[in-house]
Amino acid sequence: VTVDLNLPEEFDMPAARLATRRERLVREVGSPPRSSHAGRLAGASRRRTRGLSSPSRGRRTVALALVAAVLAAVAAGAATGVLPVGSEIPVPRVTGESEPRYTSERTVVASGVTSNGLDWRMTVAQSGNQGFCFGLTLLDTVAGDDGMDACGRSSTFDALGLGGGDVLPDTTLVFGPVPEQATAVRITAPGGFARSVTELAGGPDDVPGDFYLAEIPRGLHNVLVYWVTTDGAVMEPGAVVESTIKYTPQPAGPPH
Amino acid sequence: MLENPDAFAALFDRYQRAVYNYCFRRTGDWALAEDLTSAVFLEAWRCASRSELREATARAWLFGVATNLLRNQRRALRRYRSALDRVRPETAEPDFTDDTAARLDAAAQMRAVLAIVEQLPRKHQEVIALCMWSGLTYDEAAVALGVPVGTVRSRMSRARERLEGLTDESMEAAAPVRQPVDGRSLIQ
Repeated sequence: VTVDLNLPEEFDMPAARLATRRERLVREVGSPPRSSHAGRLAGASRRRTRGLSSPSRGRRTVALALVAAVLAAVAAGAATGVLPVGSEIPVPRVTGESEPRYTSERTVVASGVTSNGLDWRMTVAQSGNQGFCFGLTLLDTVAGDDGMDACGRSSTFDALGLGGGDVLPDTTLVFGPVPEQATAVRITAPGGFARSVTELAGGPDDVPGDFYLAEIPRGLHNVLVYWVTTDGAVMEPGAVVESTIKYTPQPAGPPH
Repeated sequence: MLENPDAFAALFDRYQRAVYNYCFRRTGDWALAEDLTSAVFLEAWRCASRSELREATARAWLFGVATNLLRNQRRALRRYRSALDRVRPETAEPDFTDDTAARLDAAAQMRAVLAIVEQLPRKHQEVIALCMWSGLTYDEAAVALGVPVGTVRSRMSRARERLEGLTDESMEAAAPVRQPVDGRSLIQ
């Protein structure tokens, strides 16, 4: 078989532009992180612990089906270890009646390190029967990969929580999808706790919206999670789903 | 392997040209290829600090990173928007000189090629771009794509079959593109 497509020759990057980019890239990687790339969290020394409490659901997650508290099945094969954002992880094709029937592979949308040194990976996949599914996996804990997965037909914003036990004794990972119009996710709690997440990770081009992750101290009550538009309007209060955190609704800002 | 910025610079010096041309051949856009190349190395730095990067597989691994970014380039560029703003040269115009015309021709030529190849499933496009356009071995492509080497072989086989039919139709219907200076036969 001979197919001639007249592939063009290769070129060097223009010399001056190459030199500039090289210099600035080296400076960029050598400088302290300005913010978390794709949700990366600053890590402390690695500490491996055992056990992770099961996640509970918040207000917005009523529409979601928590399909698998443990992602062991997802983490099969080539899905081990830290993978670059955009990597695709094979999903199980044969599933039970109540489980998602995946129509895409699982794509890594963000990854990072918890404050106690555990690598995490956030993924999204599409299913034919339960909408898109997103999951958070803590990698290489003593018990192996651990985490949670949630599917929902139309959820564009949610706040799931993962934490507790020996694996994350001091913090909760708050994460979920957020509309593409969002420029930040804001997390507040009585007593002055407030945190903004401005690094929102994009998923595959055919999955709407972005994704966020924040690590907050455990034990906070009445935590609220919002998404914020470019002009600062606060949208859709949501709930952190970690069981020690109570949801208290507040009025949302005007829709945009 | 990427323990410090000097090692990063060495990796960049060694592979930037290959990554740049790979990104160009997947997009047909020189400016976009520059930004994507920068994003590939930023992502490589981010991931390599937490994964084992070996010299023997560095090229394949980088092509894997590039392939992942290309799958979702709009999101990838947005993800690295701030960093890319910092590393991008201020001048909007590329400093092409003697090869300006050749680059313009190459871009038009590549878009014509992509118009054909993009009719294939994405997985087939990827093996074509990796193995045929960039010279990766099947083993390297397997590393880049995170699939068994047998899967690369079967994808390539199917891609050839489908491409043969597509090019027969497309090349007959399309107006002839300018002959390349160094045109390469896609499949032999």
